[in-house]
Amino acid sequence: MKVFIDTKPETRAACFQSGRRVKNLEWVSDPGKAEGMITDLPELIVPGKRTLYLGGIVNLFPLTDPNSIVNSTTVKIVSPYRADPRFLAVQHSLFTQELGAPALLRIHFWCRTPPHTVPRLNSLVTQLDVVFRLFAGTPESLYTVGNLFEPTLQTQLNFPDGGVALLDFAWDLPEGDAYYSLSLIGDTGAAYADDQRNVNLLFAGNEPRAKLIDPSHEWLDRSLENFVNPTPPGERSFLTVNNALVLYQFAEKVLESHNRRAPVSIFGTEDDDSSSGTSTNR
Amino acid sequence: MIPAPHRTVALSVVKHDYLPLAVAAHPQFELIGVADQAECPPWVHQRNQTFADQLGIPYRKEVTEALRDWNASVAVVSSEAERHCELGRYAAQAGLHVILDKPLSNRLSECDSLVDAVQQSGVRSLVWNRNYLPALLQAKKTIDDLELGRLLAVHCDFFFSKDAGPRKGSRQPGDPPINWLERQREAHADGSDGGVGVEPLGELHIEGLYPLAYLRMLTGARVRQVFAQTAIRFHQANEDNQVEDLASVTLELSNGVKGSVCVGRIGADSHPDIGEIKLHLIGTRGALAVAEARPEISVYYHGQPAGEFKNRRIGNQHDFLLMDEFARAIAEGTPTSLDALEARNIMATVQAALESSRNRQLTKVSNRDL
Repeated sequence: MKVFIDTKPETRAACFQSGRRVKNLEWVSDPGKAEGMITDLPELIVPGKRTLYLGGIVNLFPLTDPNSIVNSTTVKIVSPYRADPRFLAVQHSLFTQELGAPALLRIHFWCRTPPHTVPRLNSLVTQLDVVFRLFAGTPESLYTVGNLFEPTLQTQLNFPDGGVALLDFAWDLPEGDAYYSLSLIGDTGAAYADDQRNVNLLFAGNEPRAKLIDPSHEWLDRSLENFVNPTPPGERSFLTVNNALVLYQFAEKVLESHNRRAPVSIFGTEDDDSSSGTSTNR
Repeated sequence: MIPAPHRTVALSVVKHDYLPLAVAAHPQFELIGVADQAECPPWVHQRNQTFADQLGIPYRKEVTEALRDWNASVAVVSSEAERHCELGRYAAQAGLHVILDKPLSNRLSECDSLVDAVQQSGVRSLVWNRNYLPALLQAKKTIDDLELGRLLAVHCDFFFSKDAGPRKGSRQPGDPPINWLERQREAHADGSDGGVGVEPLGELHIEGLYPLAYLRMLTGARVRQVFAQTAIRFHQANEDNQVEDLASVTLELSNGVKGSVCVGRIGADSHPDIGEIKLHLIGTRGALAVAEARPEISVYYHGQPAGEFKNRRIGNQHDFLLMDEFARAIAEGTPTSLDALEARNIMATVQAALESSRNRQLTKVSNRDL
């Protein structure tokens, strides 16, 4: 596939690095000759043009008029955790029936993010995507404590069959620190993806330091691979704009709960796009 | 001069014998007898007698006179949950300091009557907890040393990867529902009978005290309100008796700290050891991920039984430290890590969580002050 890239410089460099692993990928400098485009800028998305969007999901709204591209199936939106090896391994275990039906999903997402709405909202949206990928249904209620302007946010999503997803965000970790933990308890088994298990110890004076062997960088390799050499539709590597809009709207409900200091019942968030898996379909 | 040990009576040993054994192992406590109510069913007397025989101490099928005749100063209660408070109350009213197994009770009114008796008698009380595990002590020190800054949130997963009889959905047409007490009596052999009693108990009742006691210790605060969901996912006994085997609770504490607790008896296949028990603490200056089982070693060998834990805890002085605390509380009047009042408030948190799950509403906890 001939691909034209128009992104921020750091994204461009990362794409070139990851692209070395991808068969059938040819970078072109003339957009007119490209079969596909990669961008992280919403304003560069062209309806009808096969596009891989690497920017923040939230940045699509309201900067871009979603109505102009919402039904576009040519725009592939990357939700990084869909291509994260930790998530993929857990998802594989779930989808191959090793775990039974999902009963309790617990995610701790700790990072350092400026007290700004967009990056924090993006991390919330990506983890909601993880929830909806793993649960075959829509929560019936949720309750949130904390918001995007506080150091932490936690939300509990209750599903009609008794399943629960608990998301914990800490935004103000010390500079350079990050932590991710995902555990999924199923009816017949459990999977634990926890950074605490994947650290080496560094001895450089004073106390030992944990050095994470971080596998998360693979998401970009895999996203490029799936864009250039598409996976079967059922694997749903990417979000459509419609999926992203549903996630964005759901994130607003998460925040609404905190603002109201009350649980929020969920109605009418069903996503009819059967190719997405964002909502009821898996 | 070494002080004489506290003469200690075990009031019922139908559940966890590790509790009276931990008491007996401490140099300042001497287990002198076992007593229980005469009207108890035969299997209760049999268990009590077996324990007494193992320790070479007497067993009496009445309580009040035994406490008086033996001149005891401490009672340790490990009965069915529904009798914890009643037996504890007898002991407190007789002027004995009391150690109680968890859960404190399955009824808040019973907890209140115990708290009344303890306060009126001026005795010390300790409800068994796990707060002195090495990982918890380190977590507490990390908080006390302000390495995390001001504590903002505490999350605890407390999963026991144990079975509880047949899997949910295994009951065949025509089969009778599983009798809770009979199932718990069967479970005594492997120590997973924490819910023993006539009245069925869900996991929030059976194990919820442990993680909630962690929160109490780490935050110094009470739970103010909860939002919870409970479910029956794993075990036929829970399904037949309509008590949860999995629960998730969002918590808001009185000092502004927030958090969550998940408890579950999630099946032996779900973890290689006793279960995933973790805490996640977030402060204004940092955060801490705590594996409750550490330190531990791993052992693998030819012929190892499938159910044997491969990881074994080491460096654990929990029982000694907990009993040391109680001895100090008796001698100096210092508080215990979990007294009857705070265990009662934990019970109120459990009740609120169950109510929240039923009503699907945010629910306030009816805490009690002194």
